[in-house]
Amino acid sequence: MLGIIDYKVVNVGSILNILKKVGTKNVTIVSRPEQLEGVTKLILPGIGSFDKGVHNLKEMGLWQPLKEKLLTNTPCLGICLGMQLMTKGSEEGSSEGLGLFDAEVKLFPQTVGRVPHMGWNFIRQVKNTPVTEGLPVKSRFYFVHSYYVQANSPEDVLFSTNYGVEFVSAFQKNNLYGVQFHPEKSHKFGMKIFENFVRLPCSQD
Amino acid sequence: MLPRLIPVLLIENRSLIKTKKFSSPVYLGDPVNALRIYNEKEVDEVLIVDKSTGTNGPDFEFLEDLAKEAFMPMGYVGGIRNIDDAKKLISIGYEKVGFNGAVLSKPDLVKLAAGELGAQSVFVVVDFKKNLFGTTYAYTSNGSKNSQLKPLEFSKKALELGIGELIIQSIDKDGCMTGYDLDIIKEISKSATVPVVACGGAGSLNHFSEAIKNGAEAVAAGSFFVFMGQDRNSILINYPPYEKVEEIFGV
Repeated sequence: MLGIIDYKVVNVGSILNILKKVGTKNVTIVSRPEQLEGVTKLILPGIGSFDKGVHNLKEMGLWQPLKEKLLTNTPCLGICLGMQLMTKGSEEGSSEGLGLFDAEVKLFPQTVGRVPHMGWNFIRQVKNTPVTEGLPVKSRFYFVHSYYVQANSPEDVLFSTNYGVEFVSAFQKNNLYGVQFHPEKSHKFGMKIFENFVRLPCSQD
Repeated sequence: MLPRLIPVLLIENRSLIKTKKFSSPVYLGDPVNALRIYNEKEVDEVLIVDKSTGTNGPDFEFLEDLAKEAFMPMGYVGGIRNIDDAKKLISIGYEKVGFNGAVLSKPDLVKLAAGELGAQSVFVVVDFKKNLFGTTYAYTSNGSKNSQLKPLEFSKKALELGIGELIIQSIDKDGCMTGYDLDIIKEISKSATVPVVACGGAGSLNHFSEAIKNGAEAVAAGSFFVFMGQDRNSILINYPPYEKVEEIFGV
């Protein structure tokens, strides 16, 4: 059973839409901690500010149970803010992140040009993973963000992208994945990511 | 990064229409069909503008159906009344919510939306045209109300609210397909720190290049993507293939 965490500033509609397109049937929306039971795979979407995301997850009682679930290596795809929440913290706010990755989130300096980074950009694939299998060589995805991820552990880096600065556009550790771009709005490139993620073997609990 | 090419779908009572200088609407059909074709053509992004919203706010049922067709980012502008409307739009599948008149009439709402949803999720449309004396002003309410501010001043007010993108639309050139208003685009792009999107007047791929050369980071168009050439009687939903875009913008 695939669960989409809905913590209010989340584009659930888009995620459901693309999952339907790639043919996934067992999907549930998770907005209460008890709904996490029986979920064997998770998507953590997110739009908006870091502190608001943390605040909502905590207020809804999801923060700790989600963290524990992810520490058991339940496959999870964090998207945009969702990816950023998986890090240790962000310059955008004062809250601590889930700390699943040794990484921080920083604001793009004005020297990169226009901020937010908005539009289709390319990725450089740094390692091979099941979720990124079969992507075309010149894959591009839709980015829309003002803050970017910097990883302290190079082995976590899955995709790298350049926008004035070189930043981590996707990271992966075991069954945990985070992508800065919006695969649900990146046409065939994003569909591939979802197809692969859906096919990942679930955790056993 | 290639500049974004953004088709604009102008909606009135759930129908797709096209205007000239914001008037003389021409009925084009069902917006869902246009969206399906844009989807197949893998367009960069789509902007939905609903000019028929009233006190009931956005037509959520209809907008949700539209969003289901889109696997590319969608922006929406038209009658967003409050933060709940904005949040609902995000949750049903719109990446960005837009404001126009609210910059002056409800600045707190625009600021709140940028704060809660993030600057990258909020844009402002600056509609402008020349008044009777030939002076260019920003207009609101579908181009009917003079804001008494020049486009640059209006843009600055919008930026102060923390928004993440400006769409600069020429009412005088809307639907004419003779090119964008490059002067205003240049003026606003010079001082804006957020992406600026040119809108109103595109009739050729050259017009896109001109706008980018004058500082726009992206280009939006209505007529160009729905008519066959300059003939407003021939409807042809179209979009250049990616390789063509790479060619024009020299990647």
